[in-house]
Amino acid sequence: MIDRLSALSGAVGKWFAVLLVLVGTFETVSRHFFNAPTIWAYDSMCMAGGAIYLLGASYTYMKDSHTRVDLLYSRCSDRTKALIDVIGAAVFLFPLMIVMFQMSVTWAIRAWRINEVMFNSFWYPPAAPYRTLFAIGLFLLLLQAAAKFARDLYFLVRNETLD
Amino acid sequence: MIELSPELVAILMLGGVFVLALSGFPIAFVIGSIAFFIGLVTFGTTTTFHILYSRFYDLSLNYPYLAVPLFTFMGVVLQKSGITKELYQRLYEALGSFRGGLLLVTIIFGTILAACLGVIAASVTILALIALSPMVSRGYDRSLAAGTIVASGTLGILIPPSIMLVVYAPQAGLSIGQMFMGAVFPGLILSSLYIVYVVTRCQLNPSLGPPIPAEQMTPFTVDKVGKLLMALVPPVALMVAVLGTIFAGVAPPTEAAAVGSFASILLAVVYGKFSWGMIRDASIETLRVSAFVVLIAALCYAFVGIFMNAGAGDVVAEMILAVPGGRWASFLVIMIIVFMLGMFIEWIGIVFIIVPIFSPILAQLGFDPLWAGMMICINLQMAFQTPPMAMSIFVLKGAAPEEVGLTMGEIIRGVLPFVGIIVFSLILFTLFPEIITWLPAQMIGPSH
Amino acid sequence: ADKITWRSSGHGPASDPSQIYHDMLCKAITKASDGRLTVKPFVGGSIVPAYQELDAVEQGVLQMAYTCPMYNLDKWPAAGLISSRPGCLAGNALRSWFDFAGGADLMNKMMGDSYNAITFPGALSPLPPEVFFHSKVELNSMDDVKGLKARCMGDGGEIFKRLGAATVIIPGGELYEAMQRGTIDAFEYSTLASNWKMHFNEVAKYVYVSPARAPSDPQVFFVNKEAWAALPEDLKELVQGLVARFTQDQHEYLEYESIKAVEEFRAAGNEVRRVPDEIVAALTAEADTFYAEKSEKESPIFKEIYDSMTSYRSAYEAANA
Ligand code: NA
Ligand code: NA
Repeated sequence: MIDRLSALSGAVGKWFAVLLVLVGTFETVSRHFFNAPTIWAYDSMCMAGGAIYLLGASYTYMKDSHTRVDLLYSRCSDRTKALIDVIGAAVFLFPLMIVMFQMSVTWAIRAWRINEVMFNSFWYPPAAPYRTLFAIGLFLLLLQAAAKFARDLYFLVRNETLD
Repeated sequence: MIELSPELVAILMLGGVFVLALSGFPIAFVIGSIAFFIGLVTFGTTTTFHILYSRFYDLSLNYPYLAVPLFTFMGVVLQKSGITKELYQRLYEALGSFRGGLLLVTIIFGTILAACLGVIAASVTILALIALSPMVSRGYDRSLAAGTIVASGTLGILIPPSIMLVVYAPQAGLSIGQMFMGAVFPGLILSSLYIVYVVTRCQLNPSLGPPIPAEQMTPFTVDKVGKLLMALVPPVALMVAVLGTIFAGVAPPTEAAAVGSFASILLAVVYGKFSWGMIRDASIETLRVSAFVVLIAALCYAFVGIFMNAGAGDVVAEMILAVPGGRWASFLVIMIIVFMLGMFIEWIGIVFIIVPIFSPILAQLGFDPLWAGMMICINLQMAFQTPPMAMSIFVLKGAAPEEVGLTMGEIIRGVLPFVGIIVFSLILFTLFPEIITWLPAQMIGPSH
Repeated sequence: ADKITWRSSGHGPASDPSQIYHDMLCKAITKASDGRLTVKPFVGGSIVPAYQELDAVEQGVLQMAYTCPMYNLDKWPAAGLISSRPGCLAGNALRSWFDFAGGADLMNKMMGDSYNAITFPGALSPLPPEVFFHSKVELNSMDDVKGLKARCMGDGGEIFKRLGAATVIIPGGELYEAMQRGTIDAFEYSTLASNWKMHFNEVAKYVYVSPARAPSDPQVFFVNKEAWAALPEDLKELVQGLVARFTQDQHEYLEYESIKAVEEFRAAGNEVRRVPDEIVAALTAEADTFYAEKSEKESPIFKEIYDSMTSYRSAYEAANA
């Protein structure tokens, strides 16, 4: 179920990659050939990039593609690996990412409340939608991490895989 | 809150990364959490949470980092459309009995890429996507192939355009243009030394980079030359699209990357290799690669905030000022500190730490600021490849096609000789500083 | 008495004069208070991301910061008024408005009671006028502005766009390369002195000067309310006095450096020129329209600050005609 959410997050997120390519190309052509630079391309591209990273975070976690320094890890048995992942998630992932999620919610609410804008350009787009997306991305990452945590724990205790 | 001395914080944070990274848990979270816990102990919740979140959020909107998703996209399209596979096959045939030929091709390709891209992860990613499989599948030594990719991909941060030089120059009050010029010869010399190294090794031990088997050797025919040219055209056309866009001033590098991605799709269409599945694969792969790269970068960037807030940066300055033995001794210590910092933290943090501290000291000691700055940047370029905190190695590990199945150990073994080459080159540039300073001096307009 | 430690950040980069003056001030406070108040200086971007210093002061991560009001446009549209915008007050006019004609109070009012940071008279350093444009092409009339591919930020960018320029958005760090490669023909950045340090003489032949585009890009010191309240009276006085002195010193120093920079740009083969009156007049007129329109749309504090600055500008000009 959570895997599906992460897959969905990936499915949605991937369109931002296409968007990024199209906007970047459009801006170049429009500025160079038509002398008509846009005021929205710069911020749109930054936000599309952010959407890729944040929506990709849970998808990448599901695919176990977050880089590990696996000098020792790769030599461990599956059970030891599960043990490392359970302890690692409890120590390195949940405390930090729960706090980051909580902060991202606080700042998203603040952005909606004060009508925060981005001022990299004089387009001044509202910051709230992106701040919200940022929080959603972290929430999905936490869900995915919780699902993997449950599976690893089950495997550790029962020595058989869940599902 | 406990009052930890800056010295202790520096040791705990840097040592913590070293030790805890080895746990094998995803490195991004390990680095972020070390900053998190040290921050909690030293500054309490409000400060720690704010520093970590604001830096994390800020980096997620960073413009130059957009080159990562964009060049990944381009790399995957090239790979999935079979364009680069074809290129490597034809080159392999053309190089025939030449040992280690594909390594040489990879270094040259990496150097050309370096002249187009300024964000490290982007060029390592492309090389990982297109050069690794062709080499490994033809029996090339896995470590040597991996080391070559890391080293030549990392040149991207040194050979202009370079995000590192763009950040460094204003911090040190130097001209970006002059730093770009200063980096050209060091970059090309490094690239040549890499070629000498791989070719020599393969000549001594042919099994590292086997030539084409005798039974597959076909006589050189017009047809073969034609096929090589046909295989060369698409990537060359793409290079022209990207390089031309940057050099002709049509677009800055990030947008040029978008144009390159778009051009790679067009190329696939022209060659009849286009499918919607390819676009889907390219975008989902872009998501996977850039999410882990930027998450590491963002949490390293957050880490630096805590490190600096604890005054750990000053610890480094005090060490320098305490060194006896004249200007070259101080210079050596500065280089060693940069190298050691590079082993643990991301370059952007190092620039923040060292520039305000070292620039005045170096000037006071009578070193040419441009030369000294360049030496530091070349040194930092090496830091990308020194474990345990080695962005280039992480990127290769994460972006390498699954069927190759590279381990961290294999990559590190392959990378270390290249680190030796960079150390050698630094000695070379110290003995002959003109290698760095000559070209910038030729620029129009007096330097100041 | 208890020893107090503050953290303070400029907005960087390390070689920028406002960062250097910020660091000097921090050391001066520590020294003058004989260590009762230690102020640790940080380079912009080293603790929190550059340009987010004021939020860090608000949150208590920093106790003091030295930054441009404009970097707080994300929260308060009116922050752009006390900034490098066309029609803003220049130099001493801006500083005297801030110190004596209610500028500092208006700024505190803009930030609001619930925002945990304040500023005070003496905290604003008015920079000399920014360079109008560094340009590869001559600007003789409005025809040259129309279609000009120029990098402009802030409200000035919007105003130039209305005047027909093709305004491009590029981060400061990428300007040098963008000019060298011809992505843009002209750009605005900072003062003559800063721009000389950025080596922009290498990428553009013409240096156009006029206070019309950005009469002054002020830098302002902000302090955390609680940290300020916790300071003994004598230390408050000491801090305020030193802040006032260093902001004024920096202003005078940069005036002097900008004058020197003109000679340096010329010696480097650049042509330093006055912007033609036609362009100045068009820009000023468009800016007045733009801000008048905006005053009607934004929250009341925007109009209050705008009107205060505009009437002070007339009064100042009348007195200094
Ligand atoms: Na490069
Ligand atoms: Na390293």
